[in-house]
Amino acid sequence: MKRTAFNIKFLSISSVVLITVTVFLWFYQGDIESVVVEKIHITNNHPLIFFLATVTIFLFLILVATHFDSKKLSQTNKKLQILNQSFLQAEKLASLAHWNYNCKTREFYFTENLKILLGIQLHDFKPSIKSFMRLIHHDDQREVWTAFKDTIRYSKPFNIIHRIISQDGHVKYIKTVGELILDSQRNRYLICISMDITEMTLKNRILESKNRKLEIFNSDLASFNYVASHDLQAPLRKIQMFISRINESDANNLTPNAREYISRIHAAAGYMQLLINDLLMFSRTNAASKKFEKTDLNEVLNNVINELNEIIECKRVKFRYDTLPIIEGIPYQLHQLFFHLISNSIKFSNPEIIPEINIVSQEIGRKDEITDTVTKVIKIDIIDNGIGFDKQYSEKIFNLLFRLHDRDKYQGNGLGLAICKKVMENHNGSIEAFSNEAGSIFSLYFPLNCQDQLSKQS
Amino acid sequence: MPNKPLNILLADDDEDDRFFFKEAIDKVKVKTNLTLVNDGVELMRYLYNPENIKPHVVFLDLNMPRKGGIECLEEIRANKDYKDLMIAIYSTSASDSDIEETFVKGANVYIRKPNDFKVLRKVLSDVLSINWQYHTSGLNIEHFVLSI
Repeated sequence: MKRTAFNIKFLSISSVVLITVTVFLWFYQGDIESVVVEKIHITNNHPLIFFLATVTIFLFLILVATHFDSKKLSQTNKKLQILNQSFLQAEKLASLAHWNYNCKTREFYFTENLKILLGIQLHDFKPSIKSFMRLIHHDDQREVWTAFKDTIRYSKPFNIIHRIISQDGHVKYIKTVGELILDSQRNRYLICISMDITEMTLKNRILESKNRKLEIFNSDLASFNYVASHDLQAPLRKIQMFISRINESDANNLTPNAREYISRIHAAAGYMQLLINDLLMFSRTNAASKKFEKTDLNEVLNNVINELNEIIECKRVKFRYDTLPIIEGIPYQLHQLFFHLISNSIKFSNPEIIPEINIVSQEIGRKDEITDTVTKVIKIDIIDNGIGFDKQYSEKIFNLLFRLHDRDKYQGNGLGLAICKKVMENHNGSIEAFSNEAGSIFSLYFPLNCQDQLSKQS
Repeated sequence: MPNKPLNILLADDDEDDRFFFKEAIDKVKVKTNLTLVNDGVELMRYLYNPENIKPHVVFLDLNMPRKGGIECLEEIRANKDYKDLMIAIYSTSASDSDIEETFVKGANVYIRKPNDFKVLRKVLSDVLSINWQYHTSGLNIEHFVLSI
């Protein structure tokens, strides 16, 4: 900068002097008698004038060039200033500050924002690594110091979170990253960026504590499950056991009334057990740990049919089914899904005709209402010729504890289809129900392209 | 062999369950000699005492105070004197994790406590008439849980 300004000044002055001399010589040709120079006869084409003119033009050209050069330089300079300013502004916005430490001269250079970041006054802060260290929370000083030393000694970059205590006594959380660099003269500098992460840290703290609460809540839920599956069932089982003892050995000694009461106790206890089992099943369906694995739905279906064998034979249910696909899923949940759907179809069969259950599987394109794209899905329909249900209930039947019939006529507690819906949600799929005079159709949609994601999630 | 009674030991902290078990076992056709203990600590004390008759089959409740069934199972299986002792888990719970854990740790059969006396009698009669040696040679988790 300084050198260029000097050049311009020098060039301008010499140009002016030379121009004056040349013009003067030009006009007073031949008659000059100088004190300094002895009598010289100068004509119009005297070499001196020619020389001076050439030098003048040359100098003038350099002057012009330098002028433009300096203009460019000042423009670049301005740009740099703007850049520097926006860099500082960006530092402020991002709550970060940059500083460096010259390992040889021990000079400590920092951007203005470091003071804001550390909450210090300009006149209080002697720029040195020691005064920087003094601001660091006592408990963190050793760690920070070790990080600096190791970086300088082994040129190992560091990344640490430490606290500082600002002048007004506030504790701030600062993340400092740094590394060692060499300049062109092979001087070593420790270059660091410090950023204020207090807000983030505090937010994280809140999140962590919420997470802990959630974990406690989850484990409470797990212990509730255990209580429900064990402690609640044990006394119930004993009630049933005692009833079965009375029925077996003492039923004949009871009055008809007492026998009736006993049979009602028996039924109520049985229903309670069913309810406990199903609630347990529902809460297990909600469980967070979902292990996806390749599941052959044909196998699932066969197991379910085997499990329901007794009632299938009793009601002479006719089955017809396609070969089902192998999907990524949670096997025991898929078992529950098919178990509830098929036992529902059998339960709500039309007593006047032979129950038939058809299971149809196909790959179809399905429009996603939200993303407005067509995706490939596996659609499995479970079609029966049962009593069906009123169209208005086609969504409500999936609600928890929703029942359409008297328990006297059809056993159940309104959990089966709620479990089915949950299972389909857990598989990123959906379930729909239709019904008409011919029976009901339950359609399951398993997303095809989600299968990979599902397996990754697990 | 047919005249010798089968020595059976039940470890269960629940009085009612011990009562049902005793009643049911009395009605089973197999000749038996039943010992009842109230928890895992008592069970281990019984097994470690050389004066006591060695049981052929131990029925083991899982959820017991002081020492639970799984702890007993581990301890029994670690003792070479009782390497061949038949262990039937006898529990209210039939959670997958309990079934898997007891299977892995070397129990021979898993019985879920029934809620009907007739069923209990049938289960006990089934378990006691199993030819254990034959049964253990083909260990398989699918046959581990006794279906009622």
